[in-house]
Amino acid sequence: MPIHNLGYRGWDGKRTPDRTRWWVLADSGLKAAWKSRWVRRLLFAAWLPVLFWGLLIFLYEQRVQEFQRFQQLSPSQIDNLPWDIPRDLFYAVLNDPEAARPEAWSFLIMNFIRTTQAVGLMVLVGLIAPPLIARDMRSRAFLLYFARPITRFEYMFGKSFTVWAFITMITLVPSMMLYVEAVLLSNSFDVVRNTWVVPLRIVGASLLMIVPTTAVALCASAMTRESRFASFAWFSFWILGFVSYEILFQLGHPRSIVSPFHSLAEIQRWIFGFSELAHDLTACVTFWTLVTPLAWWVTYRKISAPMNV
Amino acid sequence: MEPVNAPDDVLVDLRGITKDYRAFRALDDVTLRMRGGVTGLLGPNGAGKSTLIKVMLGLVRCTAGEGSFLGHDIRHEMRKIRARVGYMPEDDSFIFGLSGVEMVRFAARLSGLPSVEALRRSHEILDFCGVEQERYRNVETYSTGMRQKLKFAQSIVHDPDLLILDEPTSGLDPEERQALLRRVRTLSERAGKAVVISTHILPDVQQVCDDVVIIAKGKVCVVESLRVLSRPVHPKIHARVHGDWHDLVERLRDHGEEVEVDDQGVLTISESDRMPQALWECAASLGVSIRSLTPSQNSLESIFLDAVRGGELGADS
Repeated sequence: MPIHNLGYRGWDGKRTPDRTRWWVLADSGLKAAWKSRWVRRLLFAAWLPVLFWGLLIFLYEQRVQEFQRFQQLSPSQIDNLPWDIPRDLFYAVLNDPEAARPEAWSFLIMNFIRTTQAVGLMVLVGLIAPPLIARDMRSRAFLLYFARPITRFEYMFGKSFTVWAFITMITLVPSMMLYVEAVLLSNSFDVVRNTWVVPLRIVGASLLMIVPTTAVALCASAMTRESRFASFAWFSFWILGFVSYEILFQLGHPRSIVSPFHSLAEIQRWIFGFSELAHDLTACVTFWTLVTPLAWWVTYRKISAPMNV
Repeated sequence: MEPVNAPDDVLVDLRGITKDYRAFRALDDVTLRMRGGVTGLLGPNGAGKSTLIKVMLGLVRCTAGEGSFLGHDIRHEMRKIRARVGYMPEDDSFIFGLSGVEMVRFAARLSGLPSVEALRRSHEILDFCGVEQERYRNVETYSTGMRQKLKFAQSIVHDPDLLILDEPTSGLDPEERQALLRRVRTLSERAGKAVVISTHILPDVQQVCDDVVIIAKGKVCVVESLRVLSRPVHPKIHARVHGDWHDLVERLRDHGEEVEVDDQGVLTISESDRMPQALWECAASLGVSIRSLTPSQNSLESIFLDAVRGGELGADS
C-alpha cells in the first residue's frame, strides 16, 4: 500500500454555488485552448491590426482641423476613396469634423471589426470550437458530465463561454481600446458626451460576431465525433460563402445572404448607423435570426442523444 | 420541495416507472425499493438496467411513474440527487486532453468542490484507488483497467452517499478485480455508503452484495436480500465422511431420512427436525467420522436464470 494511502475519508466541506458550475467547463476549455501555440500566435496576430486602425484614429484627431482642404477634391477623386466611405459622412467630416466625430469613429471601428477582426475570428474559432463538443462525443464524456449537478444548458453555456471569451479578446476588447485611444487623443474629454453611442455600437457589433458564430461553430462540433470534420465544416461555411458572394458580385447580383462574412458585415453597417450601405439587411437579419436558435437547438439535441441509447 | 415520504432506511423508492423509447418499452411499471448496503442489479443484455440507472440519475425522463432517490423527488430534484450520487458508467468514458489527476479534479469541481480542495481530494482518492504515478499521464494513453480505476475514482471523489457502478470490474485482471471489490466493501462497511452494482459477473455479486435486484424485459423479477435468496425452498445439508459411507446411508434411510450420494461420495440429506443430530448419532454408532457439513444454497446463477425465465425460484443445488 502506498505510504500516502490514508484509506477512504469522507469530505464535508462547503461546496461552490450551483450557479457557478458552468465556469468549471469554461475554465477547462479556456486552459485547453490556451495550451495551443497556434491559438496564442493567432491572438497576437489578431491584435496587430489595432496598430493600423489606431494610427488612423490618431491621424484623424491630429489633422481634424485640416480637413477643409479635402473639399477641393473633385467628385471623381472622392469616388476613389478607399472603403466605400459614405458620401454623407465624407462631406459631414469636411464641413464640421467635430460634429461628425461619432460617425467618423464608428466608421473606422466598424471597418476594423468587419474586415481584419472578422477574418481573425473565423480562423480563431476554427481552431478553438471544433474539439469542444466533438471530443466529448468521441470520449463519451457526457455520462460523466450529466451524472453530476450540471444541466445541458450549463454545459452549452460553459462551452460557449470558451469561444465567447476568445472572440471577445479580438473584437470587443481591441475595439474598446481603439475608442479609448480616440478619446485620449481628442482635445478634451467632452468628446465622450458626443460619442457615447460608439461604445454601445461596438458592443452590439461584437455581440453580433460572438453569438451567432459561436452557435454555428458549436453546432458543427456537436455534429461529429471527429473535430477535424467540424473544422472542415466551419471553414467551408465561411469560404464557400465568401466565394459564392464574389461570384454573384462578378455577375452583377451581389447577395450578402450567401456569405456569413458579408451578411454579418451587412448587419454591422446597420448597427454602426450606415444603413445606406446595407443592401440585403432584412434577408441577413432574418437568416441569422433563424440560424442562431436552430444551431443551439441542434447542439442541444446532439448532446442529449447519447443519453437515449 | 419536501422529500417524498418513504421509510428512513429506503434510499431508492420507485413506483410504477415506465420508460418508452418510441415504440420500445425499456422499463415497464418498475416498482422498487432499495436499502443501504451493496445492491446487485442483475439482468440479461437489454433488460433495462442501464435505462433504470439513467432514470435514477435523471439522464432520461421517465414516461410514467414517480419516486424518490435519497429522499428527493426524481422528477423535480435531480440536481440535489446528482450532488449526492457517484456514477461510474459502463462506457469507456473519459475527458479528452486531461491527465488522470486533472480528470478526477475536474469531476470534483463539477460536483462543487473548490479548486484547491478538489486537487487535494483527487490525490487522496487516487491513492485509495491504487493509481500511482500514472495519474500524471494523459487519460488517452491509459489501458482499459486504468480507465476503470479512474472512472471509479471520479465517482467517489465528491464523497457521495450513494454509488452507482455500471460493470465496475469489466476489463480488470483478477487481482485488480479483487482489489476493486474490496474497495466497494470498504466504502459500504466503513464509510457507510450505499452501493448499486450493475453487472453480469455473478461471482462479483455473490462476493460483495447484500441485496439483489433482477430485471428482465424491463420488469423487476426479484428484489431480495442475497441471504434469503440463497436459502433453498427445500433445505438440505451436504456431508463428507471419512471411511465407508454405505452403512451410514443405510442407517440414515432406516431412520426415515432422505439421502442421496453423488459420484464423489458426498451425502445430500434433506433437512428435518432430527437433522443434524441424527447424522451425528448414526456416524458415532458406526465409527464413521464426518469431515464437513454444509447447508445447501441456491446458486446465484440458478436464481438468475429462473428469474429471467420467469420460472419458480428455489431450485435447490
